Amino acid sequence: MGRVLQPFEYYEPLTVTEALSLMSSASTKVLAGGCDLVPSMRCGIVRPTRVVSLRKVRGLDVLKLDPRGGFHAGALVKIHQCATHAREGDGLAALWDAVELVQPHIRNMGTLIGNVCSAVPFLDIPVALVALQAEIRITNGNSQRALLVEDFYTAAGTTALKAGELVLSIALPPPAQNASSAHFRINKGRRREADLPKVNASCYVALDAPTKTIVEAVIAVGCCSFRPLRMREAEAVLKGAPAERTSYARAAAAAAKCIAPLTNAPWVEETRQEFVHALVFDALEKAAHRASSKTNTSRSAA
Amino acid sequence: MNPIKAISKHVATFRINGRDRETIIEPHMLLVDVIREKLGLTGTKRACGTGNCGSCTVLLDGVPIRTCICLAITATGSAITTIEGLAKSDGTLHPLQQAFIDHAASQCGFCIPGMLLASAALLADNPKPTRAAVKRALVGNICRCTGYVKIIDAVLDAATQRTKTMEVRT
Amino acid sequence: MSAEFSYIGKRMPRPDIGPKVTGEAKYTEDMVVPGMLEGRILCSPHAHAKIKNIDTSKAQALPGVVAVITHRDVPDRKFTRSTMAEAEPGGLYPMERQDQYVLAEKVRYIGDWVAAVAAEDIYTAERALDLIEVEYELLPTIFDPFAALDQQAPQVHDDAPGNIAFEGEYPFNCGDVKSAFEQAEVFAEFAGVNSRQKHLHLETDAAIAWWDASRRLNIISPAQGAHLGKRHLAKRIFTDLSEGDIHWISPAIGGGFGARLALGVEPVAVVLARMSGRPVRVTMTREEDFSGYSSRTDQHQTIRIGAQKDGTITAIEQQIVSDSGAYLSHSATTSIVNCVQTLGLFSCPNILGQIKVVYTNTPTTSGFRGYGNPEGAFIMQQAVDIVAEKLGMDPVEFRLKNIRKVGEPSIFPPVALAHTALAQCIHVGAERFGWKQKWAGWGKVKTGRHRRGVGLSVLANCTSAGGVLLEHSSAMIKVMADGSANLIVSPTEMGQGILCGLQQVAAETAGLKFENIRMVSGDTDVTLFDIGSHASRSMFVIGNAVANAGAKIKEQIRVLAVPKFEKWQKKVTPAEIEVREGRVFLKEDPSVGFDVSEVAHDAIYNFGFAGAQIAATGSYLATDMAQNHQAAFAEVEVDTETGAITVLKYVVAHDIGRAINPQLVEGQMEGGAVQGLGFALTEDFIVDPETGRVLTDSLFTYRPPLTTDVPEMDNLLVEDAAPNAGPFGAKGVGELPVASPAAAIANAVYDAIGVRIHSLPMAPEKLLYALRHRGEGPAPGASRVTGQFL
Repeated sequence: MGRVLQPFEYYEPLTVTEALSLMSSASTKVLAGGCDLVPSMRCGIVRPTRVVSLRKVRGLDVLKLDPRGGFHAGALVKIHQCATHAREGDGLAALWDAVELVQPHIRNMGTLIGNVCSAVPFLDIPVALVALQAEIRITNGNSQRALLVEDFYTAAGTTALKAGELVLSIALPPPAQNASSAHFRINKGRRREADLPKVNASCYVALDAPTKTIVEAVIAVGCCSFRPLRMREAEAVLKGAPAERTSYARAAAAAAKCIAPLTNAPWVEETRQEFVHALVFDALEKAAHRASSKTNTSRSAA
Repeated sequence: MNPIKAISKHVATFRINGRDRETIIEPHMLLVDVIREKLGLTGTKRACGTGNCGSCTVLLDGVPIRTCICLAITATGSAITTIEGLAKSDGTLHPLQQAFIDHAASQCGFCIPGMLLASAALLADNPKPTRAAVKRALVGNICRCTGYVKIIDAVLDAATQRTKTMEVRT
Repeated sequence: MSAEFSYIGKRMPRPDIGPKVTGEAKYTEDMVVPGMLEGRILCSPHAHAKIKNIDTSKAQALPGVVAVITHRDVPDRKFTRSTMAEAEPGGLYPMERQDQYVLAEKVRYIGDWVAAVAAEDIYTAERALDLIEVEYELLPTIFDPFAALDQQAPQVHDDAPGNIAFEGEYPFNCGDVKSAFEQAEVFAEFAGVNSRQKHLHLETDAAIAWWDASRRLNIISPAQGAHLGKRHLAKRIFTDLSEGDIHWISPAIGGGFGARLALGVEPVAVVLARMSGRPVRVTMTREEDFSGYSSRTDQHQTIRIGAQKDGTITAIEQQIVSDSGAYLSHSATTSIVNCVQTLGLFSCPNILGQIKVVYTNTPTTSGFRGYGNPEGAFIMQQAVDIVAEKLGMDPVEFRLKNIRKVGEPSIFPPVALAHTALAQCIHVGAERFGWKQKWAGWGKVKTGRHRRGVGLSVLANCTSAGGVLLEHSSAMIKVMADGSANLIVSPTEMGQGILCGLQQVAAETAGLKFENIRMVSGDTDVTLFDIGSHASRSMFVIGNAVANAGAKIKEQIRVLAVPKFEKWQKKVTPAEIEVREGRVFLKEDPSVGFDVSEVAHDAIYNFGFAGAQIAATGSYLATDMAQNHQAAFAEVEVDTETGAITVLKYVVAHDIGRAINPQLVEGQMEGGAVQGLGFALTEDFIVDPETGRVLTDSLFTYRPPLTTDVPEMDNLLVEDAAPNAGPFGAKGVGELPVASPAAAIANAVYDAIGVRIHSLPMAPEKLLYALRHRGEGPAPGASRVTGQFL
């Protein structure tokens, strides 16, 4: 816990291969935007002996836009670059909502992948990425593998990344045509060591426009575990259900029921469930509203 | 393949307020400390150390960033603007600085360098922001004294004044 | 020059703002003294432990380390961080205890100071802290103030049985509360507690200390009362020094809000400087600040009010149990001042206030802007509304009926209330807010997810502690040959704009040009004794001293100017001469006159003239608290699904007497209101009830208001020049703005949802729980104060 950082070995490789060759040791940390790593080192939460900066690695700053609405971002792509592609009202609006909750300076400094890899359990963006079924691409130099963001976290502060592996990029699949998403958060007090200072939720809703029924829903809830939780039971409630408040309420109730306690304080847990209920309801309603207005706009545009 | 060498203590060049400044740094040094302690530009303030409050804001290639969570070495090669670089070199204040004076928008003053730089970046991007846009742009800059009212008024005033001057010119 | 005043009531520019917008203003951490070392402090990881052994040999051996200190190296004298004893006439202060050492042998909270290092650079200093090996013997801990009062509870201090740090009564208890309650026709009781709001001054604590060639101790630090600080250091800690041996400089200060009225890292810097023989700069981190030694004191209160059916309040009782944390500092004083402001608000013949302050193994609390008033207001204003509801009276009318009037006792009852514009504030505020249109009446049940409500708060606050503390001040003005002047004066400019206000008063009273007065402040070798900026006192007490000095300067100028009018063949007396805005002229013919520099120049350079520079010292002693007032109105919307409270509109009217500089008064009101909004809604300082660790130790978890949290606000100045107050009738404004929001918002929340919130901040989870469990009594995890949870 200091005002400054203590020395470490520092490298600025130029290629992914070079970067990987430096990452054999467990006490190596990768530096991209630094928004989480730098303060964590200062506070002594992590004490790497070696830091490998990606800033000069070629090819990691590429943002490829999918004409159907998704995108593919390299490990150095900043949060604000992605945000401009996830405008409000678009299918990726949950990401837009989540980015809006990040302070402007952090959007300018931090990378989308860094936000995911930091494994900080109370961030907003990873929850939105789970709802949007984003996938990260990992390399070990010889082969690549892909992993959904929801499967990326293995324990508190820990990811599925193995020693000698590096996250290259993240891919957001294009949302369905009549689909959209939304993200909400409530700030609360951190009541116990194990408690978290927020509750947040992202929902993705795809509609069948003529019948106004829900074709697909993805519900992700944050700050109720060490990772964003995918609420599959609640999603099942919505499949084929009419896009209306009673459906959202049933799904919200199902989601709230699935929350396991973080603390031994019953009132803290009771209110956390209440928050999940409210957030899921609101996110579903807003996502569906956006999805249906999107349908209208695209029709009128056509 | 040649083994990659670790970067250790070295003389680094920082492009700061339009000038190249050389100083000896080590990779673990924070940008806030290099700017304050090595380059003597103490207008950049450290207040939270976690990137939450905005007091240590500088512009990196025109974009507001936080120097308390930034390794100095990663800022080499970029143009840095600190509060000392906001006024013209002849001492003429930036319209925002004058507006902050006119509105008494500074009390203790500790947040003001960050506020001004974040505001300058906003006006460069959006010369005629709405009140909501100003609030949104400054949401990452904490002020404990003013309640923000006069700060927001000052930014809007500076934007209006500047637009007026531009209209006169054209 | 037809206007009544040249500078009073004008929006003059602050003298300190230029350097603040260019980044040139220098704060303590910006200062470098040649040869300076960097000092850092090792904090305890345990909430209660005895240090069995402490080995500094590895740290000492680290190249670059110059000094390492532990409890063995600090004076064997206990002291208190609060410097207020030195503001007391006898230096005796029953509300404080000498209860801590500079470095501890027994640590009493997580964050207590164990050791310190001075090294050539900060990297080495922090590495050395890591190398200090401490062996702790863990002791049983106590974190809850009510549990701490149990007989079997662990003792935080051996000499404080039952963990009672202070026990006392409100000094102005009167009447017979017990029988008054028995006879009361309406009775209400409300209990609750505030949070330990953090000052969150953006500049974290820092100090530079060094001995100079003449063996004097020099200190640079952001002190709010450096004259008190130097006496306190010499009297309580470094008894080999006398106060004249200390030279204290307060440069620009990055926010104070009361925190800097207690000693910070200065004593550590002094010991390190002495051990190393070098200047030492000691700095802190934000995390250390959060788990450190300054926050508002959490005051658990129960307030009971009795009234007659006609709405006359007949009895008020306030019981306070305050949690001081590990050391006492300001906690007892803020609790008593809570009683002073809360129990002194209304006319009432039967008053009882009782206070207990308790030690726990949690961070030390201290004094914070408002100093007990925001804490009391949140409970009192809700209790008042409960009575009004039982009476079926409009809460505005109920308050108007009971507030004190001129001639009745003031909040400092030995002195009668000389002036109040509170009724006017209530009328003006209610009108602007639209109270009559917005308030639907008691008992109107609202439905739907989003429910709106309105509420108000009416408060009084002291301006200074006249009659209690050493409320005197002195100022010096000297005029240079060019007609410019120095005003040498000792408020603490921590952002509030006091230097500007005093400059205006000096220019107006002396008749000099505003821009020709240069402020000299923040140096104990130069300024005269003063107890610092707090208690909304500076414009009142220091302002009057400046006005007194200014009047003397003007008189000197008049006398010296008499022979100068001979060239117009005028024979005049000083009384016929006016001096204004740097010009000397005849009252009857203002065209006849000249620049003040002509007199000022002669005073110094013309030996035959007077043989003395124009200079004067002015003083003032306050015996009155010149109380100021606010009436605040809030409209809120409550989301009954998320528990979120949105403030839609906030209107507040302040009884300011006279606004010397309306722009700066607005700044105090706006800034205070937003700080009060944080106190009301988001600023939750949470100590883990199981480990004693501060869970809100960064801005990720502790949330002050941001730009987007500022509601639509109207800050109204009610000006009515007050007698027995500051220059031109000015009263204080610094503190009350922070006290009103929580009280007004709490009443508005009740109006919206019919549920009263007992604990601050009114966080969404508290609101939701209260909504879902209304009428069930205390929540799980509640402390003994009825119905709240922490």
